[in-house]
Amino acid sequence: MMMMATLAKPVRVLCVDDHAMLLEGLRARFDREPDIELAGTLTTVDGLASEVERSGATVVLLDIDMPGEDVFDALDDLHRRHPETRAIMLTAHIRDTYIDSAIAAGAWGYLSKSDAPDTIVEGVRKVAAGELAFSPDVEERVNAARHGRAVKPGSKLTLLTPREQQILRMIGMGQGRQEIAHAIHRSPKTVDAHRASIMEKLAIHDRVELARYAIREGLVEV
Amino acid sequence: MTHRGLPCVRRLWPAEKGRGMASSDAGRWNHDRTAAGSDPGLWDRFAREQAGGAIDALSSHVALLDSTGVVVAVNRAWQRFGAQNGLLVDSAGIGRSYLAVCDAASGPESSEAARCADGIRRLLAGQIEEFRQQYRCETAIGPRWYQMRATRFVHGARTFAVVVHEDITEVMRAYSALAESEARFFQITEVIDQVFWMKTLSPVRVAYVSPSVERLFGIRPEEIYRNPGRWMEIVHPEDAPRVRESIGAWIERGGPGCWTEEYRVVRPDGSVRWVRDSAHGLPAAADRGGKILCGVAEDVTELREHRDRLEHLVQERTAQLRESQELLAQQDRLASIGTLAAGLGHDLANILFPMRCRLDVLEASALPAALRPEVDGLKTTVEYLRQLSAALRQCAIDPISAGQPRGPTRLSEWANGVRPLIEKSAAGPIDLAWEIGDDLPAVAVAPHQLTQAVLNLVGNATESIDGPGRIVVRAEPPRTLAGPVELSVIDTGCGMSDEARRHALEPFFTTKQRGRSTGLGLSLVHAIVRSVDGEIRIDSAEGRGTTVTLRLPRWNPRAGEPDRPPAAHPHRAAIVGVSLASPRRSAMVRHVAAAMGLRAVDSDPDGAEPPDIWVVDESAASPDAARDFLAAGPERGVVVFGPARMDWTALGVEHVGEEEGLDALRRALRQARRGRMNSP
Repeated sequence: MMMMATLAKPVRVLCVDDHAMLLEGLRARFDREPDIELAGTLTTVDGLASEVERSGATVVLLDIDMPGEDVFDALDDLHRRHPETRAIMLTAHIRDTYIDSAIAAGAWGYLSKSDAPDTIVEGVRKVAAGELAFSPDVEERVNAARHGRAVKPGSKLTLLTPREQQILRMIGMGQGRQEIAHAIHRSPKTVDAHRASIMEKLAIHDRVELARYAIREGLVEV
Repeated sequence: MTHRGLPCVRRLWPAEKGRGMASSDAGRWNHDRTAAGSDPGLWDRFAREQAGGAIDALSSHVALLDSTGVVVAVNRAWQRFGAQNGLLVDSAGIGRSYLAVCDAASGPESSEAARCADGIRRLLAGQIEEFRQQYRCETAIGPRWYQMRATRFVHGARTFAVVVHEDITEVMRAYSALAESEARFFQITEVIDQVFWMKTLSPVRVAYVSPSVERLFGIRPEEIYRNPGRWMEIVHPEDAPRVRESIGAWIERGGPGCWTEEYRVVRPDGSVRWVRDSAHGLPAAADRGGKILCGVAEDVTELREHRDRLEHLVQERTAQLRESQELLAQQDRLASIGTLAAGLGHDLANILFPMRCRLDVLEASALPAALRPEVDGLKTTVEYLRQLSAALRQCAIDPISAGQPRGPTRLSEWANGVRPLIEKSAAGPIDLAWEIGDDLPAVAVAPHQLTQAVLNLVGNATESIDGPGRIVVRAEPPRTLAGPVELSVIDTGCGMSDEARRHALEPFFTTKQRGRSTGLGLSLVHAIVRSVDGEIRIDSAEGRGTTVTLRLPRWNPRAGEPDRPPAAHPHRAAIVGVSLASPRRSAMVRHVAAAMGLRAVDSDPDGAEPPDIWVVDESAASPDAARDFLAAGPERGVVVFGPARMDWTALGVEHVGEEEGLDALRRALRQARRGRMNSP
C-alpha cells in the first residue's frame, strides 16, 4: 500500500549502514520517490549527530550491527541533541531486546531488511507524518504482552541507557564478558566500559552485587 | 544313637585291701592256679596253644569265663585297668563269678548289669553265639565308654565264654561330635531356602534331601527318597533334555569341579520356577563304592526376573544414552550450522535488499517488453533468496532471548489475529478450517513464533495438495492438569514416505525441487518448538495426508495470566485523548491505542466527544485538571508521561516513565481503563 506524499517538502533521509551496496540500493530506490531525498550516507554512527545537523536530515535510517560506537548509545545521544530528528532502525536482526532498546532510545520505527523496498519507503513516509512504523514481523512482537521487563518509575535503572540496561540484564542472567560481547556484537572492552559506567551510575562496586541488583529490579526472572 | 551306661562291672568287684593283685609275669596271660575249680594244667596248655602273649598284647580287656561264669583268666589290659581304678581284686577277679557280680548290681546300672548277666548266661547255654553291649563307666580319668563283646567257644567237653571289653571312648566321642554336627546340619537344612541334597551313584539313591524341597518345589522328601527320578519328573520338559545331558556328561568326566545348571521346574500347582542347581562330587567310602554327589538347588525365579529387568533397564538406558549422545552431537552440529546459517542469512539480507531496490527501479522504468521476463525472472530468484535468508537467520536461537519468558499466547485470540495472513498462504481450491476453542489455556510461545511455525506448516500442507483439498488447524486442550496444549495442522495431501518422515526435521532436507523449497521449514518449526521445551510429532503416510502436531507447554500460571483487553464498549470504542508535547510520544500512544482497538484523538476534554482516557505530560498538565477529568465520569482514566509524583499518584493515575516502551504504555492504558471501571 502506498501512502501518497502530502508533505510540503521532501523528507530528507540520512542512511547509516556499513554495507555500501545497501546504501546505493537505497539511493536508487529513494531517487524514484518525489517526496523523499537521500540527504547523505554514513557507514558508522560515529559523528551521527553532527552529520544530521550538517545534512539537515529529518529521518535517519539506521542499521544496528555496525563497527564503531554503540548504535543505541548514539541514538540516545541523537534523541537528546536533535529531538526533532526521527530515527528508524533498518536491520536484519529482529530481536525483542533490540526492538526494546531501539524504542527506549527514541526510535520511531523498526524495519527489516527482509521487507520489500516499498515497505521501507512507506515506513519513511509514516514516520515523517508522525506515525510509528514497524515491519509486520516486528509489529507482532511489539503488540505482544511482556512480563516483568518494565523499569519502574523512580528506579535507578532510569539512569542507565538502553544498552546499559541490556547489559545489566545479561549480567543478571549470569552471562560472562565474552558471552555478552558476542551477543551484542561488540568487543569485550566495550562491555567492560559499559559495565564500569553501570557500576558508577548505580554506585555498585562488584559484579555479584550488580547481578543481585538486576534480579531485584526484575530485569531477570528467577 | 544313644549310649546308656552299662554298669562298670569291674567297679563292682569289692576292693580287697591288703591283697594286691597276683603278680603276673610281664606278657603272660594271668591266671590263678589256686582258684576253685581251676585246672593247673589248663593254662599252660592254653598259653602254649593259643599264643597267650598275643592276647596280652591286645588293648582290649579280655577275660575268660568258664561255663558257670567264673573268671578263669584275664589279660594284662584287664589287670592294668583294675590297677588303675583301685580294684585291688585278688588276681584281678580270677576265680570270682562274673555273673554273681552282675546279679548283685544295684542302682541305675542294675538293669544293664542284669542284661549283661542274662546275655552271658544265654551265651554259655548255647542260646546265642554272641552277646554285645555298650556301656559307660566312671573311671579314675573320667567317664569312658566300652563295648563288651562276649563269645563262646568249646574246648573239649568244656564251654567257655570270652568277654572282651573294648574302650570305645574316642569312637563314642567322635560319634557324639558327629551327631551334634549332624543335628546342627539338619537344623540348618531345615530352615534355609535352598534344597540340600546328596545322592549316591552306585546304587542310585538319594541319601538326603532337605525338607525345604516341599516348601520350595511342592514335592515331599519321601517322594524323592522312594523315587530318585522324581526330581527330574518336575523339570520343565523343554529344559529336561539339556539338564540330563549336562549332568550326565559331567558325571562321565568324573565330576570334576562343580556342576551348575539353571532350569525350570513345574510345581504340582502348575506354577513354574527357575532353579539354579549345583553339585560337587565327594569320594565315598570304598565299601560304598563310587562317588557321592552333593548339591544345592535354589529358587532363582525372582533373581532372574530382577536380572532380566536390570538388563532391560541397562539396554533402555544405553539406548537413551546413545540417543542423547546422538542428539547432543546433532545439536552441536545444528548449533554450528545454525550459527553459520544465521550469519549467512544476515549477510544475504544485506546483499538482497539493494538488489530488490534495483529491481524495483527496473520494474518501474520504461523497459523494452523483451526485458520484462528477465526482470520477472530476477525478481523470482531474489524472492527465493530472500526467503532463504529469512529462514537461515532463524536457524540460530537468539542467545539474548533464550531464557526469557515467551508468550503467553491465547490461541483463540492469536488465531483471530493471524487468520487472514495464514489463509492467504493456503490459496487456491483448498479449504482451510480452524478448530480452536475459546477456553484453551495460554501457551508459553511468543505469538510471532507461533505464526511463523503455523505459516510454515500450512505452506507445506498447501504444497502437498494437488487440486482441491482440506487443511485443518486444530487445537486440543491438555489431557492432564499441567499437560501441553496440542496444536495440529492436518492436511489431505500426498503424505510422506517413511524415509521422508524420518528426515523431515533435518535442515535442508526437502522432497521438493531445489529452488522451490529451502528445506528449512520443518526444521525451523522444530527449532521453535524445542526452544520452548515443546515437542513435535509427524503422522504421515503416502497417499493418506499428514498431521503435524505441536505440543506446546502451558503458560506458567505463577507468572500471571495475560491481561485481557478490557471489554469493548457495546456501542463505541474507548477514546484516548492525547495531550502530549512530544510528537513521538503522541505517535506511540496512537500506535498502541490502535493495536488495542482504542480510538486516539487530539485531546479535547471539554469537546463534544470527551475521551475516556486522557494521556498527558506530567510537566504540562496539573493534578487538579486530572482530578476534574476523572470526577466527570467513573469510567475515565488518566495516563501520565513522566516521573511518578505523590500528588499525581494519589489520584490513582497510571504512569509511564521517560524511557519506557510500548509495553509499559499498553499496560498503563489498560490499567487506566480497567482501574476506573473497577473502582467503586
